[in-house]
Amino acid sequence: MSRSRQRRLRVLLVATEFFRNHGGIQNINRLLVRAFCALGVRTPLALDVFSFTDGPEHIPAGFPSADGEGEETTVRWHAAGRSRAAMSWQLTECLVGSAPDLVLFTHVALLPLARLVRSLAPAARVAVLAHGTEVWHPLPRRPARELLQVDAFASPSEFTARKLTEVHGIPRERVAVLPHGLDPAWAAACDAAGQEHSLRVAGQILLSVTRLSRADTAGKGVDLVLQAMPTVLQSYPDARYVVAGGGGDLPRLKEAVRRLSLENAVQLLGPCSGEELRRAYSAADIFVLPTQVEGFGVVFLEAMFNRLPVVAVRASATPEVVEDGVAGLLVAPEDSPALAAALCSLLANRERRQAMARAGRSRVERLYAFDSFVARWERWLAAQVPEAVYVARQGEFFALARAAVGAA
Amino acid sequence: MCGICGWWEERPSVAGTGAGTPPPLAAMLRQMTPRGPDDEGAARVQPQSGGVLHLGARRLAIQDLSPAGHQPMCDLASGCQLVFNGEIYNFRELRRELEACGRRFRSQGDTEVLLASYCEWCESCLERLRGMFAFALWDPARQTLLVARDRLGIKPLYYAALPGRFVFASELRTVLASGLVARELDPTGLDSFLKFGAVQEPVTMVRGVRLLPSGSLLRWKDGAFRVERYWDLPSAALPLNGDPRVRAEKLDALREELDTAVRMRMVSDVPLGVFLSGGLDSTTVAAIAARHSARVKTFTVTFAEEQFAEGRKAQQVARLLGTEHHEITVSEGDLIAALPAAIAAMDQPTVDGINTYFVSRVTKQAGVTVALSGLGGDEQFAGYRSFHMVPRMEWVEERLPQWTRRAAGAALLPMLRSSDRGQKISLWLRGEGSFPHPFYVSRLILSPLHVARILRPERLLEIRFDELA
Repeated sequence: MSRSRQRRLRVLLVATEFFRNHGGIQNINRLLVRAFCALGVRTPLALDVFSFTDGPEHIPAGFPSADGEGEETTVRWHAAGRSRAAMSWQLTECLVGSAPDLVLFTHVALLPLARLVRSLAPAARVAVLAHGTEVWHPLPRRPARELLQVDAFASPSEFTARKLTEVHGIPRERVAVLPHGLDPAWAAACDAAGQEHSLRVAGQILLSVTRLSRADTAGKGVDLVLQAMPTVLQSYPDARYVVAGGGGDLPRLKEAVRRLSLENAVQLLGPCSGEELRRAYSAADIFVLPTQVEGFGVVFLEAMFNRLPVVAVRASATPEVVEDGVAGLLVAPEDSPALAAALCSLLANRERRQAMARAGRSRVERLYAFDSFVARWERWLAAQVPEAVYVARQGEFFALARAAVGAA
Repeated sequence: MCGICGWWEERPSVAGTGAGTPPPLAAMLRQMTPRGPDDEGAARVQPQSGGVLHLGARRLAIQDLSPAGHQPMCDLASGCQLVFNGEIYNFRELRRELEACGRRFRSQGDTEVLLASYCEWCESCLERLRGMFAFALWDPARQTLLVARDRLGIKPLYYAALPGRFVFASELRTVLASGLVARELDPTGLDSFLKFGAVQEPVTMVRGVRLLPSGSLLRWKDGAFRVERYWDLPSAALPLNGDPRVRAEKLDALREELDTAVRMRMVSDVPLGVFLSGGLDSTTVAAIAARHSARVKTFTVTFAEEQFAEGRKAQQVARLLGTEHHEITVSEGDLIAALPAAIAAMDQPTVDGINTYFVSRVTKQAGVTVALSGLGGDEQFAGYRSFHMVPRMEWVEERLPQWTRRAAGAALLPMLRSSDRGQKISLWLRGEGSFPHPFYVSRLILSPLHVARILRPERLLEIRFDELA
């Protein structure tokens, strides 16, 4: 009964996908739902989550898991199963029924739906979560116009925020930088996994973790590492390069390995499960990914959390996540000799590697832990709709009093 | 009224090393002159853990008008120092008990009795005190400053704890006058005032300053403090059931309690007045007072405007009880003319203080310093209409599904919109007000939605409702 009294902050989270496929965007979407559920009594939410591609069968029962769901927050899932009509209909129903305070689209591709929001719930604030490459380049005229009408943007990095203003002319004050965080369940599993691993590779391991789709392998820079490998092997013949991740570009990379005669030094693992990935991190000595297409780079957080020094390039959002010279080494893009030199200098110096590993781990714990991610989003939500947050918070005192009575 | 204040400062350079009164304490004492025009005193002690603790008091002579009642008062045997604001009504009984324990008294007042009862019973003396009080007591043996407030919080006590500094006083303005606390508005207090017309304890209008909750004590030691509750109302309630004999018994007990309560409050050495509106609460108080004293004076404020006049009923009551009755007629013009003075006399803002100010002023002019009122009766005995509304609203919340309430709220909106009360009911029905309980709706002056429109957005987000818990 106490629930019905409280006016919660009404938020619609409209996303492309959460569960159907694996990927960075899906991870962030799930993390966002977990974070919203963790807000609890201070900012109680009535959350409606829309997924365009997931069907009801994809949503695991009890997600967000029991540890994530706050008593004061309620979640309803709407899964459209790739049906545009179903998505529009469910959204319409929700917009009319619950008059949301805030509608957050987690991808610019969903923006055509913003028109629906403006006409059916004109009081709602419309926000968009930007990720990376999808907003780095000019859009066709209609989506570009749509983008300009959005009230607020959340960007994971300064780099992407700058692209939003430079490429699309969005006023800077509309863009907030909210760095991503680590999934708490994943982080706990990493720490629990400990040392044991199944990679039967002798010698020092250089690791890349990336999706190898044809569209963006070039940007991710795996080829650059392959080019640097012969140089590395001259000084460190026992060094091994392991690439975790699958995708359409895998055959071409296998061919490239053969052409460079690196079959003995390079292992392409293909698609990995979460468990396999954790083992790879735990077995590796250096994480290397000279990517130029990171909107943020959660993969670097994973590497740093697993106490790996990072070798990457000074491009896109990477310098914001990996502190050059502290948690890793950053080199110029497209410069395989420089990359080889950086790898060799770390392979030569075990103590420096360990110092970088410690610095990386502590940076992740300090800035990118789940709690700080939740706090950042709570502050952002409050700043978007201060009046609604204030009204929703009225019950805080009574919730605390009730909890105190319950505990006694 | 009297006024007390105190100040601990860790750095001696700020605290004042020499004899004389340091400027912040002098400023606090000066500010309290209207509360206590008759006497002033200050004392300094040096806690072993460092720094200097100052105690100050200003006195309005009601009991024990002699210099023997001077404050801060020191117990020579233990070295305990006391500053005290208020009255202990059962001090004569306590004094007899203490004398039986072998204590001797130099004065006729309640201050010395309070001090002695602490020396005899320590903190548990609080359970024996009947009265309205706020006091601070330095115990050198325990190196502890004890600050306490009466059960219902009739006498105020504000405090501010900063790094290396602790300030307390009877009024928020006194704390500010010291210059030791930054003058910054507390949005939580402001929100509370806008919604309820008064600031709810322990929050105040000034950031960092807190009101010691009623029935609580504060223990300060070595620069740190703890607040603890020593009494609460529910534990003292008399439960009723349907049995008429139990009912009659409880009513007798209540009658006796009221009689004792009024009689106890008539112990002062000055003539007594009663604020009489002619309503149930003030008439009850006046009738009991008249039974115990022949020289009761009653005071009524009436309004020149016919529709608000309560004067006739009060006259009838006064005639029946045989009291010396005074009637003050206030016009709209009088009210407006007196507003600046009334607001100047107010400490924290309240929407309810103007009428008390008027009747107090006239009572004082008639030579009466102490007066009783029926204030609080509506709260204790469910006199307000809201007490009848709330159970019905609870019934609606429990029985009607949310969507029907929401529909009803929306449908009735055009009808309800015209009145302030109607707007609140519509908000409640639609579930838009975030009212944690229907009681909220019945007591609100401005709804949260109104407040959200008045305050700046960044202020709204600074409000901490958890500080009220």
